[in-house]
Amino acid sequence: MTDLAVEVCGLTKDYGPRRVLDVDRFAVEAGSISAVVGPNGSGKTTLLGILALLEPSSAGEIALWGEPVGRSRAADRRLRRRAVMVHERPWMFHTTVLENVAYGPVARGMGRAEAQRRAAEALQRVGLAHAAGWPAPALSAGEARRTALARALAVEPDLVLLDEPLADLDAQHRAAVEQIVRELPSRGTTVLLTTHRLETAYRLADRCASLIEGRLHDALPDNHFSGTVAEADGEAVMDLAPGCRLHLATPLRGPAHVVVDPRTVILSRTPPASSARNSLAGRIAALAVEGDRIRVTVDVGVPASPRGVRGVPIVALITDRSLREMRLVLNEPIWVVFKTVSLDVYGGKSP
Amino acid sequence: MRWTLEQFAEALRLLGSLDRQVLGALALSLGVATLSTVLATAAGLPIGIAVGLARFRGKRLLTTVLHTLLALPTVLIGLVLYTALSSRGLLGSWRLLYTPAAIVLGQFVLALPLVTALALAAAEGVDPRVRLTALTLGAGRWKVARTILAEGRGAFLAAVVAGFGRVFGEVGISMMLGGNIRGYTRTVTTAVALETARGEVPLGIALGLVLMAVALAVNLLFLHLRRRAAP
Repeated sequence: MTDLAVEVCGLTKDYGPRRVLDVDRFAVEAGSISAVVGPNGSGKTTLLGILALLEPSSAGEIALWGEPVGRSRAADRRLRRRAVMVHERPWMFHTTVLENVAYGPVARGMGRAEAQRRAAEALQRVGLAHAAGWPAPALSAGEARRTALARALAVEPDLVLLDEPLADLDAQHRAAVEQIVRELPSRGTTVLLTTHRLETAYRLADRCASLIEGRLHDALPDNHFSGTVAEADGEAVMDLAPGCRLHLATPLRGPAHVVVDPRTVILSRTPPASSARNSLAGRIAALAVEGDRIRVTVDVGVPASPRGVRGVPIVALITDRSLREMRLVLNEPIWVVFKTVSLDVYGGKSP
Repeated sequence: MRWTLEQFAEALRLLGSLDRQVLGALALSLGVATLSTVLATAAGLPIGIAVGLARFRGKRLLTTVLHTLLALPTVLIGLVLYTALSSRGLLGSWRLLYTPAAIVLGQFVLALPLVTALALAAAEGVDPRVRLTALTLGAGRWKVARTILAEGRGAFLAAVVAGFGRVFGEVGISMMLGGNIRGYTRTVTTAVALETARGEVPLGIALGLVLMAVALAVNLLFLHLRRRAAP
């Protein structure tokens, strides 16, 4: 059994009548890098704020390192001090950059000289040693973000919660920050980050979850489709592309997100004659080994297209054995099949 | 019109010959105003910050009450404290009536709602990320409050300046609780009231000009502090 740094059960957060977060179950392994992927406004920041014990949840249970949150003020304060959250738009105190970074160690009772030594070290790591004496509020957005990262590193937390850590950074600094994040687990720090970019999550995280409209989807954040749910022949449908229509089982109409669990996607060489309502023709665009599974990316919606033309990618996870038995090859025409009930639909408005 | 101008001209002439008594009244005015402002700041700033950051039922009502207290007339404060401090009053045994301490007490009551209300508004005006950042970096309650004070220092300083301005120019409390005793509880404002009542209008105006000059000097000092405090 692995140790869990974060464990969440039945967590909700309401702002007035609006439910902004509704997470059934969520866990982060200690010493791992986890990512929560979702569009802006999906509740990522709220989730991090709650896990950093900066704001209360409306209901649910949270445990940090196996210790339940909310038992006593003193215990919560102790837990809060083991974690640091870095906000997407970090606040810079009206002091120097060095004093900003030394704030955490000083707040935790470290002597000034020792705290500043640690702060200087942290600034070195993010490549801002030269800016130590600058007034912090005058920093650019990217510099402020790196300063905020250094400010978090300086307290040597057990858990660091990074809200969109790579936004506002140019390519060079993005690589540097990614490197720092990657090294954190070896220093004993668990990382939970949010991003609206799938590729960031894939590059950095051991494990990804997706958050849409406040709901956490514990599958890989593949097969997210955003579009409009319309009605055709008395049935809910969403058109991903011309000739590429999803059949949905939902009373919702209007703007919505659809998630298809890649584990439930079936591949077929022949047009399927089954009860599954969704069968789409496409071509195999990519094959990749992912642990003990094979990740098959099928471009659908452009079945007769020449090579290089991209359709809508749908990912299926299959076993090694299925791959061998089916002898799948790149660019081969294939059908993807999934049951309507295996689709999760979020958002939109009730008719 | 002509008469008014004559009074001002005479007042300006008198400015050059203001005597020791005037300086004494000025020193007392400055002294009691400073002390009462310091006390009102010591009490009002923490209360304002605490209420400003807290979320509780009745907060809006409390804020409304506070804003109503801003309209408290100085004569009413004077009257209430007078009845409390007079020898038969509740606090009569303190023997404070007609002493500078009584003026300080009255001015403290006058400045407290103002400093508190402005500190409350200042605390609410501080970016919420300040508190969150301080908390997540491990600050305890006091350190969080101190950080908020530091980040919103311009607005908090403005609360103090407003408090000083309110007490420095008041006359009702000084008159009723101090008694306008020459050389002991006579402040610049009570002196103005007295001289005007006696028909010495130019002298009253001259004293008023002195008062405003000192107020200007004090505010320039605050302006300097505020510039240095930046945010």
